[in-house]
Amino acid sequence: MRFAELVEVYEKIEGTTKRLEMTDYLVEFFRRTPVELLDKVVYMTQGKLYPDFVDVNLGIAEKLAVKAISKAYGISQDEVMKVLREKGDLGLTAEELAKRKTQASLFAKPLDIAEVYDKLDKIARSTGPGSQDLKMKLLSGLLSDASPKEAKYLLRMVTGKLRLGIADMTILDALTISFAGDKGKREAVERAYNLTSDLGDVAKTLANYGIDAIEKYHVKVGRPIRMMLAQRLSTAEEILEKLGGRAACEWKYDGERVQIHKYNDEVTLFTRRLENITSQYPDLLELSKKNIKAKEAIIEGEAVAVNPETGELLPFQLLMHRRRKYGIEEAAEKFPVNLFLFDALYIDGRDLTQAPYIERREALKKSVKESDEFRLAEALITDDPKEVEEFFEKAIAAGCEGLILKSEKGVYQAGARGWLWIKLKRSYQSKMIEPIDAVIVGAFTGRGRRSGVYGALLAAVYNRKRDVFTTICKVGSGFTDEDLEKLPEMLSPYKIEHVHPRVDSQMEADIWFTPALVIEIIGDELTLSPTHTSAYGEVKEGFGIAIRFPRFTGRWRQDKSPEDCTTVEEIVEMYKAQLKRIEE
Amino acid sequence: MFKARLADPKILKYSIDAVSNMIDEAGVSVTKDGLRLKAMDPAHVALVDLELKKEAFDEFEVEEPLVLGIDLERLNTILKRAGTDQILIQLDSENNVLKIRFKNSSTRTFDLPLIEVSEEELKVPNLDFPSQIEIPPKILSESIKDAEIVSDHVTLMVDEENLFISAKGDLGNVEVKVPKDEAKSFEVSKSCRSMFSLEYLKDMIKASDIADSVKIYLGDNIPVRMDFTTENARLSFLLAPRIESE
Repeated sequence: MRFAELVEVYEKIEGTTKRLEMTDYLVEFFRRTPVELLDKVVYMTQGKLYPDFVDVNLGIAEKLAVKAISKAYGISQDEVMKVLREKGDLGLTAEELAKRKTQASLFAKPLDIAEVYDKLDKIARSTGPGSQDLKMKLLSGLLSDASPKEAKYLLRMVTGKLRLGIADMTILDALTISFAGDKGKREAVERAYNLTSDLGDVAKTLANYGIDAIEKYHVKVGRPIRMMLAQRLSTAEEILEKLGGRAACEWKYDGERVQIHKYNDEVTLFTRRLENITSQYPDLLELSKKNIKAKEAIIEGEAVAVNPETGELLPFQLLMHRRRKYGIEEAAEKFPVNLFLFDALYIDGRDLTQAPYIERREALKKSVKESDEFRLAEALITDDPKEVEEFFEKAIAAGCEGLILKSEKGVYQAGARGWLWIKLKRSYQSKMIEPIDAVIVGAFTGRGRRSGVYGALLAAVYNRKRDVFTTICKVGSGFTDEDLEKLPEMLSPYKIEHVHPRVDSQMEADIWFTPALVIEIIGDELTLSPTHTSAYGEVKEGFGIAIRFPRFTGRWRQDKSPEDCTTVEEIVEMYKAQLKRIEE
Repeated sequence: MFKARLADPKILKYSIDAVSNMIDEAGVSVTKDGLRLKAMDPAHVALVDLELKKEAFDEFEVEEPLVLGIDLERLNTILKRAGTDQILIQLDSENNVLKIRFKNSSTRTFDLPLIEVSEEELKVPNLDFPSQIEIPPKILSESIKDAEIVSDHVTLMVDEENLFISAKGDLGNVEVKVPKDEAKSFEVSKSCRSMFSLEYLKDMIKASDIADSVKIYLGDNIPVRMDFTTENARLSFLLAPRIESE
């Protein structure tokens, strides 16, 4: 089939803004497309060569495209750039210059779709030394055989800017009408797409085996399921009401959502955008291989950066160190991730997407071996808004974004943002802009690299009225190796058997101290906390104030006595002064 | 089984250098008569036809005809390392590599992995050339280098008396005149001219150093054919013209 025929459809689609007309053009074209070309045509129309989860991408740089146009048409690069500046679009530039070409070719043959696809594939796949030149030559070869209109779309495709304005949903409409007669079976087709994220495969299945095969379509290990998303409401009461009075609450971790596909020893990781990120998480790959007991599984969780020495959760931004090609191992060592699992979609031959939440969570629990690094997300089933709030503040204080409340009976709605999952996020936050002075009242034994020294310290501020020290955070970040080395010695004179009578703590430290040593601490923000006792009940009943993402600034305040610490009054003032509504 | 030895690497080095920039990969056919490479560049602007007769080699053995898929750019970088050493070529079909050995006081062996090449059908137009001129290759290569100074394209023109190689650019013009008497042969049935891209020509003239003569087949706004020949080798190019806008 000629590429010109496809281009003709693109021209028509570009000429309209009406979705129904677009659909009609596609239907007409899909019906006369040979079945073996159908998936290719679908991907190309989406502006790609493969479904998103295959890591082969077009997207050649403008400079290289200019070079290819110059070579194909015998027009200087300066001239091509001049036209590009006028037109502002590489596609239109190629179209214009194809008409003005000054280089003849020995023979020209009309392009056909299969050939164009193969050449584009070759362009996308060539990597390494000399690949830029090869990409350029291949593109210029295509251009020399292309008509001006074909040149326009070729350029847009290779630069990743096809942008026909066709949404995946329009393609689904067109496929349904083309191969199932009318839109009646649209839902089944969309479900098939949501289960495998592969429009080409859906198209081929439909064309080859009809709607029956689509209705029997199931999840496939190795093809990402389009993720289920959550709605949002602002209070626990509203959410509980929406979910029928009772819900499973899960911590919403501040990390990257990952869908793990395991097939025997082969593990693949996908993002929410269905990209394959297996290479970015070698640590997660190992954890998955080691801890998933099921032979075949599709499970979901949140990958969160952690401080390897204290187990503290770290902000999402640190995961950006993984977004690179080289040095992943180093990034994985410096900022390792833990995985918090929350769903199972497929386990050893069983498609769980239609099973209720409770059953999925049970299957998840059975199919993995939990460890510190790889475990189920913190969860709580309740019908009490108070309990939800407490759980919520605990999650925030631990570094989470909030909670996701899930319907116990809810199925996994692939690709949908429905009301079976509802998130509870904070609407206010109080940024911490200046450090505080806090006294050390306890310590936690370290693990990993910190075994033998303290992993984290329990810090407190001064409550002048009651003349006690109330805890404000557990801090393990910001200490140098040297600091850690000398801490036990510095604190040993103050070591005591039980919590000090003037210390008010709900946390159980491994070691207790007489309040003496003062250090300076900064954090990202001040948050409400059900665990820490500073300003308890002053801002909100049942909650104290804590520091979120606390770290030692490096300043030892030996000049200060414990009573010179920041006071609870000051903390409350700081909290109120910085409290701002979170902009969405 | 295929094995060949070249005491003087020059002919292979230069001919591969002349084609490898235009054509990235090609199938080289090996028969009892020698090597043959016929391929077109991806933009279909130039066609290359290289023939190395078995007499060009000091030793040449092949059991049955075969086609070797070769990454020409790779081969070129390897051959550049040859210096003046004797070259031995041997097919290791088990590992699907071509062993290229340079022998002097030491022996250096390169493994060139063979690649899959898609056989593209070459539909080459049949052309009648009104003019055929044979000249020493040096004259052609020098003129092309002159033209490169002023432009990215060059005009080849003949009349009954002369061959003209000229280029026009923003910074000035150049014209090289080759009188009939300097040519080895000069058959011109009518005067004609065509224009060509220097990007291709500057690669093609790399064959000048090994050829005894170059025969230029020229017409009016049609492709030009250039045959660089020596006793046991022929490197032939067909190059599509530029379209003159004025």
